[in-house]
Amino acid sequence: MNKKQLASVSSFSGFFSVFIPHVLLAVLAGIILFVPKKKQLLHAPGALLAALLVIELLFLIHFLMQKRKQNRGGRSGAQSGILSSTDGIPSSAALSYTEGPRDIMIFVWLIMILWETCTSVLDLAHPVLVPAPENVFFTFYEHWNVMLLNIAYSMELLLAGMIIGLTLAVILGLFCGWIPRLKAFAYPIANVLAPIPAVVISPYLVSLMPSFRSASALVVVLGVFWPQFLSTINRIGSIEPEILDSARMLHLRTPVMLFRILLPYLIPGILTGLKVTMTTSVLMLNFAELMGATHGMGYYIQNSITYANYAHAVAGIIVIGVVVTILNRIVGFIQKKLIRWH
Amino acid sequence: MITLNNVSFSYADNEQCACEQTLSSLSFQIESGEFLCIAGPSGCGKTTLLRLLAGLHMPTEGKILVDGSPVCGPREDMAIVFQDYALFPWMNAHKNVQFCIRQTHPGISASDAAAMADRYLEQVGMADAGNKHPYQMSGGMRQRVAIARALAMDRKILLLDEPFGALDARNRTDLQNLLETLWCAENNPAKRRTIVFVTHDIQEAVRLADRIILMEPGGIAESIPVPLKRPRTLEDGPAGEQFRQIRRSLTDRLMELDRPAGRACRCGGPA
Repeated sequence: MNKKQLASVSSFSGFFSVFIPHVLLAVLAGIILFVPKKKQLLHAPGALLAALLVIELLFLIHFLMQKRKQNRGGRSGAQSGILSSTDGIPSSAALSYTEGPRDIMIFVWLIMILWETCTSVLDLAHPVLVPAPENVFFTFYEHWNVMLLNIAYSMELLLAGMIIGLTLAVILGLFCGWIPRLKAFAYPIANVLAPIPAVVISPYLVSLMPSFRSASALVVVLGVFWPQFLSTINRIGSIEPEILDSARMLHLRTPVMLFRILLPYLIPGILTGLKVTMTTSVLMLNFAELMGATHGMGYYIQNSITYANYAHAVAGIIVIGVVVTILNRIVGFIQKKLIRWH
Repeated sequence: MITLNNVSFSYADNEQCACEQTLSSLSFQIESGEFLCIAGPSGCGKTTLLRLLAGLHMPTEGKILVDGSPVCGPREDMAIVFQDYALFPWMNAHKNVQFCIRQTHPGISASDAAAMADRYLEQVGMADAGNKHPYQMSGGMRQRVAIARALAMDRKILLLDEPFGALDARNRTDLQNLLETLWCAENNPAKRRTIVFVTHDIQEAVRLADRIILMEPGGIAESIPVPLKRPRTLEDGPAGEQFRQIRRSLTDRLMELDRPAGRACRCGGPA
């Protein structure tokens, strides 16, 4: 296959990968704008259309970046992809970078079309429990300041809880993992206390602690601390013997051993655990906020449900999803920067 | 001078092997400034013996004395090079060497340590690779850095545990030459470092050693001096003939020994 043919193949498939999602998007926009609606009490579709635009823009940016990566990544990749597909063996090299985002977009637009048709257009779904997309996205326009405030409030607690929990877990874990006598003392105790789910005792903690904020921070701290503490001890126990031997031959003093050898050795594991930890702490925090908070994302959703305002509740759920995704991206970025050696 | 007095060792925590000693009643001496190779089939306790010398294991019976004082834990006058390099993976080559220098030379300034690290890296031919991390290096490069690190610790006894076992032939030859050159750099033989070099490769042992201790499972089979001149060129001339003769007799001797793999119980731990 010569270069020209190759180029035409890739531009052809490139055209199609953008084509189908855009047909779906046009259908969706058409339904929103021009099809008569059965459902009563619909807000204006402006916010919904704006949200679609944002999603579309994100998709295009992602798509173009992947495409550039693919072109830079070299012809050889494309060529081997074609070769292996003629052999009839599916391989990961045959998967174009742009196919993933395209499939996701098709999925998203189909879900949106289904949602819009079932609620606004035909009014088939439950009139109160399943809000129309127009109303859900109108919430962002209507409540953006309230939502930002609640996000900020939740993030403050989350960060404080995570930083305190993680720092305590790693420092105490270092000492308990390295000093045999401390380990013999702390490890069995930790094994008894760690499995007690902080979520379950959180109502008790709320009444125990002086303020609601300190109680929810404590729930996050507990949720982060125990798993990280135990895994720090375990990781030190299973440190590679060669690293330990060469450190022993150097006659290191305990502080040097702890902070120059063991701590850097642990960091990749801590960061790998951080993604899971963060998802857990968001869960913990939101649960704690259901308990009687006056601010926060969990409170926002809880409050909306109490007043049967399900459009607000669904909007709140979407916001939590977006926030957790952004946090995960940040952790992933830190991971990449810090532990290239691993 | 290192003296072993009736040293025995068994991996006590290994229940299957509790009956059997990995090493039993070893007694020999290593002179100061000697280049000693410990050779033998794998599984016969060479590495265990080296770890005993390093103080990473304690003998179950008997004593190891270095210049009269008993070994009871890793000592301040020994450095060790492992087969699997054991560099700190989060530090680049330069930092690895520099860290060791700063730990073993208390009070040295950061800039002096850096300059020293540069010098040692240059000695092993790694002057350009200082900013590479271990994951970016080949096995040969890592072992060069590990040697630089051990030299930089400036200890009078250097222990090497099959350091070139995982390298390709070219790198192995290069590093053998390098090790001999660095060791011979001190002209006065009495002031040289004592080197204990574990290998399963007879050729390598004859290439490097002043004396070879040939081990059989559980103990020492023989102690063989290698009276070849240094620096050694092994393939031609009368020296080459002598070299081949020593190697042949050693290989024959090795073939006579019991193969440990055939025995009912082989002790665990690093072979």
